[in-house]
Amino acid sequence: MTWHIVRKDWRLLWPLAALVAIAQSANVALQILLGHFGEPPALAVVGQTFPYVVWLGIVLLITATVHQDVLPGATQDWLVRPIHRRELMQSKLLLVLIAVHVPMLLADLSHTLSEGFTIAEALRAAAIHTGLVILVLDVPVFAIATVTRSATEVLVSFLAMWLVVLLGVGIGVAARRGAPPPFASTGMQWMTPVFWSVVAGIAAVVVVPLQYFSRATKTSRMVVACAVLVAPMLSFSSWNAAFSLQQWLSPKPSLARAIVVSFDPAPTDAPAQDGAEAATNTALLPLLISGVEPGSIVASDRAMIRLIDQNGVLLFAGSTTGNHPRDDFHVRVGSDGAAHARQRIILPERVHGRVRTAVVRAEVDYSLTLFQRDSAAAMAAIDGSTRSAMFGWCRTRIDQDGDDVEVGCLNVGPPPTCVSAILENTVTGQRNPERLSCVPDYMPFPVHLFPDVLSQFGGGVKFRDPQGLARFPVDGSQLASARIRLTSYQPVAHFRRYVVIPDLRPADWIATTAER
Amino acid sequence: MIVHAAGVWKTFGRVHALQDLNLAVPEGSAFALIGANGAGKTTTIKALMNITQPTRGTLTVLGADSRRLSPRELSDIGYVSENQEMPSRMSVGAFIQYLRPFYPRWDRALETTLLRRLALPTDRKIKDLSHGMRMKLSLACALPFRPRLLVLDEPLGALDPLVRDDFLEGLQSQVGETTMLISSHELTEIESLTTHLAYIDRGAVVFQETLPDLQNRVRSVRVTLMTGDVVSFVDTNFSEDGLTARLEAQFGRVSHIETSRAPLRSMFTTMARAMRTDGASQ
Repeated sequence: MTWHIVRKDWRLLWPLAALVAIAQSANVALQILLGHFGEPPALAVVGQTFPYVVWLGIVLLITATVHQDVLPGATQDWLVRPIHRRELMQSKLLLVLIAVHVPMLLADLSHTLSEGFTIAEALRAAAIHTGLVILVLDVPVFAIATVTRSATEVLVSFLAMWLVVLLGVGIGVAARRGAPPPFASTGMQWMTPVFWSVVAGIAAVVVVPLQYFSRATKTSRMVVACAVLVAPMLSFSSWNAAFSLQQWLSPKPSLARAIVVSFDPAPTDAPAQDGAEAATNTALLPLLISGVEPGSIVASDRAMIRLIDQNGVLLFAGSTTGNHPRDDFHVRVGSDGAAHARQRIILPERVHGRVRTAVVRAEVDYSLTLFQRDSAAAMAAIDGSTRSAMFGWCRTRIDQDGDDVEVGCLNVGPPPTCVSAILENTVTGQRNPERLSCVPDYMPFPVHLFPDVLSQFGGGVKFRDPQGLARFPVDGSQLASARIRLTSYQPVAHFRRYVVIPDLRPADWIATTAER
Repeated sequence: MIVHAAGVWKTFGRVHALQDLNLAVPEGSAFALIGANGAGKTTTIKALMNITQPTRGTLTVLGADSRRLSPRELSDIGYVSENQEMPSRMSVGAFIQYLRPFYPRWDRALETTLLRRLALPTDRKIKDLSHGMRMKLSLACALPFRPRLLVLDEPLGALDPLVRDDFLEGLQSQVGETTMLISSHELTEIESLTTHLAYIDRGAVVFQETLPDLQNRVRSVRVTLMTGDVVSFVDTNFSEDGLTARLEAQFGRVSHIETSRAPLRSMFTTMARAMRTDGASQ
C-alpha cells in the first residue's frame, strides 16, 4: 500500500513538486551563468539568495507531504482507516525522495556534467550533496512536520527554534564575558553544525517513529524542545574536548610527533600576522618551530597564556588574542624543517599595566595544526584553464583593475583549506612572492552543501602595484609567458605543545609601529 | 460482545472525561450512546477507535485491545463523525478510489448504489461539499466494505431534514447486517434504529439495556384525578404492581390511569434532568 499512498499524495502535490523542481533547475542555471568568477555582481547576489528560496520550497514540499495525513489531532480520516502506520511513514519518506531528491540529483548531475566533470565525479558529488541535504534539511523538517498540523506551524516552529538557539548562544557569549563560542571562526567550527545536525538527527529518529507508531505528540514535542535547548549548549563544548576529538580524527598524527615549539629570542625577520592590533598592549613573542617536514605549514589554532609573577601569583590567564576568534599564526616551514613565527599576545590594559616592565613566567598552551602539501596545478596566467582532483576546474583572467591575475575554480566539494598561489615566468623562472591563503576547515569528511553541488572559489595574485611603490619580478609585460601555480595544503595532524618562558619581560616584545 | 469496556478511565490533565466506564455492545445490535453534552460519548468512541488511548482500563473492539487496533480490525469498522477531516483537495471519486484497496471486502456494486442513493457528485472536490454532503460521503465511505461494526459519532448534527432522511435511509439499510454504535442527540430520528441503549453521565455508564426493557421500565403516565385535574409525567421506574395505591398516596383520589410507551426523547430529558438534580444536590 506504500505506493498507493505515494500515488495519492503525488496527485495532490505534483504542482508544488514541479515548482520546486523548476526552482532547483533555475538555481543550477543561475550557478552556471555565474561561472568561475561569480559575475555579473548583480546576478551573484541573486545566486547567493536564490538557493534559500529553493530550500524554502523544499521545506514546504516536505511539510505538505507529511501533512497530507496530519499526525497530531483526533479528527483525521486516515486514523480510522486500515492503513499500516509503517506504510504511511514509508510512503511519505519515499515521496520526499521522489519529489525533492530525484530532481535534485538530476540538477546536480546536469550542473557537474555541464562543467565538464566526469560521470563518476558527478555521480559521487550529486549523491553526497543530496545525502547532505537529507541529513541537514529533510530530517529535521520531516520531524517538525510530524508534530505540527500546517505549514504555518512549521515555519513558526523553526522561527521559534532559531530564536531559542540564538538566545542560548547569546547567553553563552554573555557568560563568557563577550568571548565567542570556543571554536567559532576556527578550523573546528565544522563541529557546531555537525553537533547540531547530530542532535537534530537523534531527535528526528526518536520523534518520527514515535509520531507514526504511537502519535505521542506531547512527548515528541518535548523531545524537540530538549534538542533545541541542547543545541546552543553544544556550541560551548570545551575546547580541550573538541580539540582532542580533532586530534583523534587526524589523518597522520605521527607527522607531528617530532615538532618542537620554543621561545626564540634571537633576532628574526618573521613578519607579524595580519590583524596584529595597533595598540601598545600587543606583544609579539618570537617562536621557533622545528622538526617539521620541509614545505609544510604550521598553524596555531589557539594559544592560552598564563602569566605568573616571581612569587607564583597568577597575573593573567586567557587567550593570547583576547576575544578575537581567529588563528594566531600560520607559517611555512623552510627547507631546514624549521619556521619562525611571532606569537601575538594581546593583554587587557589593566593586566598590561601591571606586567609590562615586570619579569614574569609565561606558560603558553598551544593547539596547533600541521598542513602537508597535497597537490598542485598550473595554468597560463592569461585565459588559462586546468582541471585537477583537488581544485576542480580552474580558469584565469586579468581582473578589471589590471593588477591581479584572477583565479576562479569550480569543484565538486569544498575549496581546499589552504592554498598557495605563485605567479612565475616559465621562461626566466622568476617568481612573484607566494600568496598563501588559509581558511582553516578541519572537517574530516569534506562535503559541500551550498549553494548547490559545486563550490566556487578563487582569488587574485598581484603582478602590478597601482601606486607604483612595489615592483614585481613577473610584471604585466611577462604575463604572456607566465603561469599560475596553485598548491593545496591539507591538515594532516593536530597536536598540542606547551611552551614555558621562565623570565619574560613583555615590554621587550611590544609591537613597534613598523610591526603594526 | 463486539465492544467491551471494563473500568475505562480517560484523563485530560485534571479532567476525568471517562470514569470507570463499563459498556458491552452485543453483536448485531443498533446501540445508542446517549447522554448530555460533555458526558463522555465522543471520548468513548475515540477511545474505542484508538484515536485516543484510555488512561487505564480495558477496552476491546472486535476482540482486540483498542490500543492495538490493527488494519485487520479497522477494515471491519466503519466510522462516521461530524468532525471527520477528509482530504479536502481530493474529489469524491478520487477519495473513494483511494480507499478501495484498503478494504479487502469492498463491494463496488454497493458503492455505486450508495453514491446514487446519497446523490453524491463524484467529480466534486471534498472541500466544495456542504457539511451535509460530507456526512453523506463519510457514510458512503463507511458502508461499501460491509463493516461488522459501524460507529457513528453525532452523525445527524446540522443536517437538513432532506439530507437527514437520505442518511437515515442509508443507515436503515444496514440494520441487521452490521452492529451499529451511534452517539447522537437526535433521539427521535435514531429511535427507529435502536435496539440497545446506554446512558452516559459524567464519564460513566449509568445504565444500559435493550430498548424494549427500557420502554417497559420508563413509561409515560397520564393520571386523571377525581377532581378532574390531569397529571402527566414519565416514570423512570415503572411497575404495574400497586400503581393506583402509589399514585393516590401522592396525588389523592384517582379516577383514571393511562400508561404508554415514552418516546426516547422524553426518556432522555427526564433522566438528564434527574441526573442534573442529583448532581446539584451532591
